Formats: sequence, structure tokens, C-alpha cells
Amino acid sequence: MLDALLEGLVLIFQWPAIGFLIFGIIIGLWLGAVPGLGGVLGLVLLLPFTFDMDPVPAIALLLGMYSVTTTSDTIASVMLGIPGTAASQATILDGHPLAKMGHAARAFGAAFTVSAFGGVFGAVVLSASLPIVLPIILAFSKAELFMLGVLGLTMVGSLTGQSVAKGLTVALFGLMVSTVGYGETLPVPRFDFGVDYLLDGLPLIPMVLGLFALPELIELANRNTSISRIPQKDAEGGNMFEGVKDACRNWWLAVRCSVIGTYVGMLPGLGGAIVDWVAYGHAVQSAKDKSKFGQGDIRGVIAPEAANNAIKGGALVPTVAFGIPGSLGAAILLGALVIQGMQPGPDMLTINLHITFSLVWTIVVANIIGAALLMAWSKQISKLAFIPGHMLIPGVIAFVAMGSWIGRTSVGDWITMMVFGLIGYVMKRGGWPRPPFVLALILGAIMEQTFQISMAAHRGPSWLWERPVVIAIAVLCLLTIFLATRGVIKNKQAGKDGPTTGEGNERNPIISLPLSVFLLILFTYAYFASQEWPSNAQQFPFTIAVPGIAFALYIVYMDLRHLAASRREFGSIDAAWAQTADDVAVRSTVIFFVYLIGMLLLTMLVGQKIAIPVYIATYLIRWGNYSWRAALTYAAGCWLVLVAFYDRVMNLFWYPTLFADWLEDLLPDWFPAWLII
Amino acid sequence: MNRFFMSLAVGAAAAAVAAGYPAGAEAQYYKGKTIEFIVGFATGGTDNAARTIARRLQKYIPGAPKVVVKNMPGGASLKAQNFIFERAKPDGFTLGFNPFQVMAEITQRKGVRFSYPEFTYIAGVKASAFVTFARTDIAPGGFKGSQDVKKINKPLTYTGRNPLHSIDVVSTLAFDMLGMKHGYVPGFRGSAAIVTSVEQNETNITGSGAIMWLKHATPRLLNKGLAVPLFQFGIIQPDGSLARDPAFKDIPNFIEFYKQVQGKEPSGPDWEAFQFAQNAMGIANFIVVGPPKMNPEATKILRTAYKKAMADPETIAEAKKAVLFAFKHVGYDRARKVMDDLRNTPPHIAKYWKERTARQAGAGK
Repeated sequence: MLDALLEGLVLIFQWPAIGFLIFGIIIGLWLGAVPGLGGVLGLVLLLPFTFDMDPVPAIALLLGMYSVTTTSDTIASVMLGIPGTAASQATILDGHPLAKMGHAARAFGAAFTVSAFGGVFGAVVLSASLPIVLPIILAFSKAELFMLGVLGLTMVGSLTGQSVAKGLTVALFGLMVSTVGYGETLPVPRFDFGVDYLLDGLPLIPMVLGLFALPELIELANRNTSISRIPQKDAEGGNMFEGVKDACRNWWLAVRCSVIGTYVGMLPGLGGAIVDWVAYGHAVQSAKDKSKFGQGDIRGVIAPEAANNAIKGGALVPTVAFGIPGSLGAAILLGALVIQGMQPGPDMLTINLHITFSLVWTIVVANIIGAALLMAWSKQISKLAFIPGHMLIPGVIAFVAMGSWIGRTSVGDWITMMVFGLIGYVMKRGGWPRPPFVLALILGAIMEQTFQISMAAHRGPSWLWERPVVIAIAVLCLLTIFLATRGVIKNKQAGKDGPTTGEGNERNPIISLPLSVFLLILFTYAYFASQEWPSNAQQFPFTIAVPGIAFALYIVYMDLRHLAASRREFGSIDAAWAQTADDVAVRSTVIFFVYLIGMLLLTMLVGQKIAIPVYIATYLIRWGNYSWRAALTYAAGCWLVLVAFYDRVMNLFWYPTLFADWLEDLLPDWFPAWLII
Repeated sequence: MNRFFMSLAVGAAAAAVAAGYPAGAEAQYYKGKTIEFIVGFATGGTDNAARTIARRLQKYIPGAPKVVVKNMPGGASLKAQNFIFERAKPDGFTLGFNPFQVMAEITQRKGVRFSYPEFTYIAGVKASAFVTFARTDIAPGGFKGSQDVKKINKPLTYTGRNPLHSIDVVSTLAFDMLGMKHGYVPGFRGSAAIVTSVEQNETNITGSGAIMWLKHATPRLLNKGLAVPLFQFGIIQPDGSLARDPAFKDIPNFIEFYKQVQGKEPSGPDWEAFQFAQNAMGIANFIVVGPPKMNPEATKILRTAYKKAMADPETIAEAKKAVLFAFKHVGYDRARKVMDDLRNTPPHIAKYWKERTARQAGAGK
């Protein structure tokens, strides 16, 4: 065992393995930092280059890249409030408020430290717990996995924002949206309204980018300030070493969350999505002073960041030892192992143990180097928080637009992104927490699948009360809701109003009411529409619709009460509306969307390679009041990224326009048409 | 499906090692051009397979064109197949690389706007025959084979993908014809998940492709005595008869197994529908096609190049190393008859499958 441990270490420090490892780390840091890219894309792009390589360098390249995407994804979460990858959503809750306070560098310091720690710790736990892994995995059948999904949603729904009811309703809304398109277990079309695009269901990444990125960008554009509301010179105590110190002070929290990350990561299909939330929930519940969570509490950054790097080690165990990949990324890694001639299975724990340990070491080394590199750069990165908003917006929009495009290369995805941008803005300003929605989207498919399989395999719902683990998790769910509700009620009795900023805390009944009415209609419609489907496709949406109607009714009632209160306050509805319209900047929000729609229409005419740079230049000149020269330089830089990375490296499928067909015939053969169409 | 194609990708990756082929004077058609493979999935096995084959293929096409893969995911590849059918130019520079979804066409699944016989066929890839297995504890004293079918005393639950999936289509009908009443549980993705479910005794019978059989079911179920094989669907010979697949020569084919259980040859409407489906989907697991009425010169070049790439001894050797058996190239001469059959699908067969898959979709009611 010890021999294999050392041999594994020696293997990855040999040339060229170590070179490929560092190369992989740099690519991984970049992919994690750009919203909409991420580790899985990196694996797909790099995989073909590894076929002719030796096993250890090949794995060092792939795994090195893959290990650090959850370190650098913190950048987008903290700076922009956009989840860099699915595993860094919880980081937003406290990380982004920290950036607004001018403390981005501190958040980075803490996050990178615990990311490195979590990654290393996860790898160590992974090696220590190899023998007990299979029983754990086999103890979780579909029924238990389903209940675990319910637990994840309950925790997020009741922990974010001031209203437990709104949080849980948002989770149900997300689950309902995840049922659009062909059924999870049967090819029965649902909620497709005769539109082919909807048959595939609504795509996750455009929705997430819309929900989180657009609202933040709209606010940046409205205020025309930088991300940090405090000038750089006044942001005291916000430097990186402060963050490292924070991490060391909270070392025990980091250890606990790393353990959570490792073990939750072993559960196939589920781990990656809920682990940051389970860790965040644990941090909130175990804290004595909870008042700062959601406002920029550093512990809210430490917990998810420690967990989401630890998971990479955990997810690898079932992959190499049993050939059961814990995530899509692990599935592709498994493919790479097979191509390298390694058979996942007991051999990986005996005769190939040194290879398994070289995987572990790769994770360890990648996490340390990745964190060190980011620490070195974090001062530069965190300066972005002090750049004027208008300078940042068009570039981020370009990445958000391309990130929404690469999944399905369909204009529908841009429309989805914009629609959910609007919904996200309403949610943000109306006091509806967005994280439960996203988690529900991610878990929706696997929850429906596990639900339906359990119903069919047990020939009815008896699995809900006959399996002890299922009952135990259900009790935890009820306890979570009970404690959260009691907390809110206690606050009210004590006369405390709770914070009015942060996720799910804003109060604008006029903005909230349309959404609660819309959800009431949606759940009611779903209740009736689902009656016509075969039971396998019907049960899940139906099960969501029933509590959804009840919650939505309650929220409509509450919103109306708040509306009545603000009418008393302002004298009339008109006055209250005037105040709200001013608060949420209705006019410039409309203009913001007009720009986006313009970019969409221009794309349909002449394609993205022209439309996106034109959008950027127009925005900078007309809204940002920048000079022609600055605007054109900026636009040209973005065009270069579009052509060099998205076209040449990724071979992306661009929007096929008639203009492109026409121009292609017109241009001479020697001219590289891919530069413009 | 993912896992299956992932392994297929491995076989394709094997092609990447084969040696280049000298370009003949024959064609300047592709010189300096780019061929696009449109794949209907974003990541995963089909994409891997297409990428590695694409990388390989260009060395066998005279003029050494660049071959790139473009992803157009949607509707389990239906979107990409519709695109090739409706919008791609028939000049030989745009091809589709996707699973051969026969049942989607036969049952006219919503969203299908293409027709396999109208595509310009380039090549098909056949992995191996399907095989079925069951947990041993479904019969008292342990289930061992055909002699124990009548003794089964546990409720049977089939670990399914979806009602249109080729493996499920033939396996569940075969169980029905044998009188093995079962609950159909759709929704499983990937070989590992299916084998885990059987291992957990959540479900107890299923059908399998060869890769799942050899790499997952054998080490985790068979070798531990948890499950036994029932029958395989065999390989259809050029003369139409059914032979055992060399990948599992000890497992009886369905006709042999049926005779042992029922004491007679299979017959009747079920058998007729079964044979039609088996003959069509048995030919290839996925196919490479161009749009209808594609340029004949390009078609000829591509068919020849594909055959050479697949026939390379190193391709075969690598495939054997990676997935334990060789992939088979399915040329146009083999596929033509199947395409003719599909074009003339008898209405009562189409009706049979539409009703049966719809019934399975309502399962659990």
C-alpha cells in the first residue's frame, strides 16, 4: 500500500507528466472562470489529444484540468454573482455581497485556501475509505436518492431568503420547468405547445446564465458604478491575506465541509449538484450568529468552496473502483481510462493501485498549484470589481451569449436566456430567492427518474414508508422546514424585520405579485394538463402541482396584504407604483433588453461573428459614452475570441443565415470565410 | 445508451492508430475541403466515436480533406437527423453520425421528419448481438435457464431504457412471447446504472448489449452467481437465418430457447412483428448518412474510404483490446435490403409497434 502510494507520487512528477499537469491546470482555471464553459467541456476538447499519450501524462492532463475548475469558478460567483459551475452556486449568497463591499480579494483568499484544502482532504479521505465505498453506494437505491433530492431542495428552499414559503415555491417552480419536453422515463411530450424546441426541455445553462447574470448586469448598467459599491481606497480589511486568515480561523468548518463533500460526492448523479448547499446549510445551522449570512459572511464562502473541491475525489471512487461514474465528468474520465487500457474494477485497488494513487496525487497537486496560481493573480482579478460597470457589461454579455449558445446552438436558447433573465430580475427585486430554482432544475430530471423508477419497481408508493433510510431523510426534511419556519416566526415576534438586501430579502410587493399570480396559474394549468398523460409521465408533475397551488395561493394572499400596506403608506397605488418603478429602474431595464433583442435579430440576419461585436460597440458608444476608438478596439478583441476560440478551437456550429450562404458563394475560394460568417 | 456509445467510441478510437492510406489520383473532389460530421449529442459516446472516426477517416479519403465534428444536440439526435435530411446541401461535405433509431421511424415518433431509406447511406457500425439476463433468485432453488422458466415465482421487473430503445423493444417482446409476465420500468441511463439496479434487487430481468454484458454484468453479477443469461438475439446471416454471436457462443439464441420452453417454433403476429424489428435494427447500431440524393461521386469515395478505415487490421486489434470484440462494418450492399423493407413497412406491423410502445408508455397505471 505504501509502496503504491509513493510510486503514484513519483509517476506524476516525472517528465512529461508534470508538464501536462500544469498545462491542464491552466486550461482548467480558465474554463472554470468563464461562465458557461466548465470542466466537462474541457474534457471533451482535450480527450482526443490524449489518445496517443501514455496513461499517466494523459490522466494528469485531463484530471489536472478537471480538478481545478471548481477552484476558479469562484471568480464568476464572487465577482458577477453568476455560478461559474453548478457546484459554486451557494458561494454566490455571501461571496457576491463581499465583492459589493469591496472585499472580493478577501473572499478569494478564503475560497482558494479552503478549495486547496478541501481538494487535498477529499483525496486523502478517498484513499482511506476505499473499502467501505461499495456498501455505501449499494445502500442507496433509487428511492433513497429521490429523498436525498427532496432534502437538498428543502434545505435550499428554506435557507435562502426571508420567506420559507417563497423558497419552497421557487423549488417547485424549478421542478415543474424541468418537466418540460419529453418525459424523463418515457418519450411523452409535455408542455410543448406544439413547439419543437420545447420537446427537448428547457436547457439548464442558458436559464442559469439568464437568471443570475442578466439581473446583476442590469443593475450594473442602471447604476453605472463598479461591482464594488465602495471605492477601492475605502475597502478596508478586504485583502487576500485577510481571507487566508479567515480560512485558518474557520479550519474546523472547512474540515467538516470537506468530509461532507467527499461522501456526498460518492452518490452517483446527485452529489455535484447538492453538495455546496448541504455544506452551506450546515454552516448556517451550526453558526451561533446567523445574522450575517446572505449579507457577506465569509463562512458562507468557506463552506461550499471546501466541499465542492472535496467532491472531485469522492466522485472518482465509484468511477475507478466499480465503473459507476458519479457525474458526467466522471463518466468521460472513465472513458479516458478505458481508452488508456485500464479496466475500472477491483484491479484498480490491487495490481493497478499505483495508478489509482497517481490519480489521487494528481488531484492533490492540481488543487495546490491551482490555488497558488489564483492567489498570485487574485489581486489583479479582484480589481475587476472596481472597473466601471459599462466597461464590464458588454464583455460579460458576449461570454454569457456564447455560453448559452454552445449547448444546443439554437436561437431558442438565447430566447430562453433572455426570458429567464427577466424572470430572474423580477425574482431578485421581488424577494424570491433564485438558488432553489436552479437546484430544482438540476435535480428535476434525476428526481423524476428516481421517483418513477421507484413507483414502477415497487408497484406503487409503498417505498415511501417501507424503507428506513427514506423515512430518516424525510424526517430531516420536515425538521429543516420546521426549524426555518420557527426562526422566521421568532424574528417577527421579537419585532426584528430581518435584512432587506441579499438573495430573497428584497420587498417589492408590486414586483412580486405578478410572479405569484403567474405561478398560481402555471401550477393550476399543470394540474389539469397533466391529467391527459400516461401515469408514468403524469405522476411527477402532478405531485409538484398540488403543493405548488397551495403555496402560490398563500403567497398571492401575502403579496396582496403587503400591497395594501404600501398603499396605506404612499396614499395610493399610483404613488406606490411610481416609487417601485423608480426603485427597480423600469425604463433602463427595458432599454437593456432592447439591446439584447437587437443583438438577437442582427444574429438572425448576419450571424454572431458580426452581430456580437456590433452589439458591443453600439452599447459602449451609445450607453457607455465611450469613444469610437475604445469601442471598436473592445469589439475587435471580442471578435478575435469568437473566431479564435469558439470557431477554430471548438468548431462551433454558428447560426446559419441566408447572408452567410450568399456571401460564401460570392467570396473567392482563397478567402477564409470563417473570419466573418 | 451513453455507456454503450462510449465504449463504441473506444473502438473508434482504435481506428486512430491505423496507418494512412496513399491518396490515389482518382479524386481531387475533396482536396483542400472540409467535411462536417453532424452529431446529435453534445458530449458522450456518440460524440467521441464521431470525433475519433473523423480524425481517422481523412487519411483514407483521396485529397486528405479536413474532417470536423459539429454538435447539434436535441431530441436524442432527432434534431440533427432532421437537419441533415431537410437542410444540408447534398454535396458530400455534410454528413450525419448518429444512432440508427428504427423504432422512431416505424412508430412515427413526434418530431421525426426524416426517413432512413431516403438518406444517402454511407456506412453502418454493428457492435454485436443483444443478450438477456435474470437474477437467479427469481425461481425456488435458483434460476438456471430455460428449464426453470415455468417455475418462476417472483414478480418480474424489467430494467428498461425507453420503449423505443432497440434492446427493450426486442427483449420485452421476447419475454412476453415466453409467457414471462413482467413490469416494465423505463428511465435507466447507462449500463452501470442498470447493473446496479439488478444488483440491488430493485429490478430483476433486463436486456443488454455486448459491452454492458462483458464489462459490467459479468464481473458484478454473473461471476458472483447473482444472475444468469437467458438467451441472445443472435446475428442474422446473409441468407436470413439466425446464428449465435461468436461473442457469446454458449448462450442459446432466442429461437432455441423458445423451443425449449414452449416446445414449438415461434409463430403468430407477435413473431412477425418481432422479426421485422429484429431484421431492421439488427443490421447496425449507428449509421453515417448524407442528405437525400447526395452527389454520387462523393458517395462512392466516402463509402470506399469508410470501409477501408474499418477494415484496417490495427483498427480491429485495438477494438478487441478496448471492448473485447471487434466492430463490424456494414456496407451499402448489406443495408440496402433493410432500407427497402423499411420503406415498405407493412401497415399492420407499424400499427402493432405503435400500439405496443404506447402501451408500454402507459405502464404503471
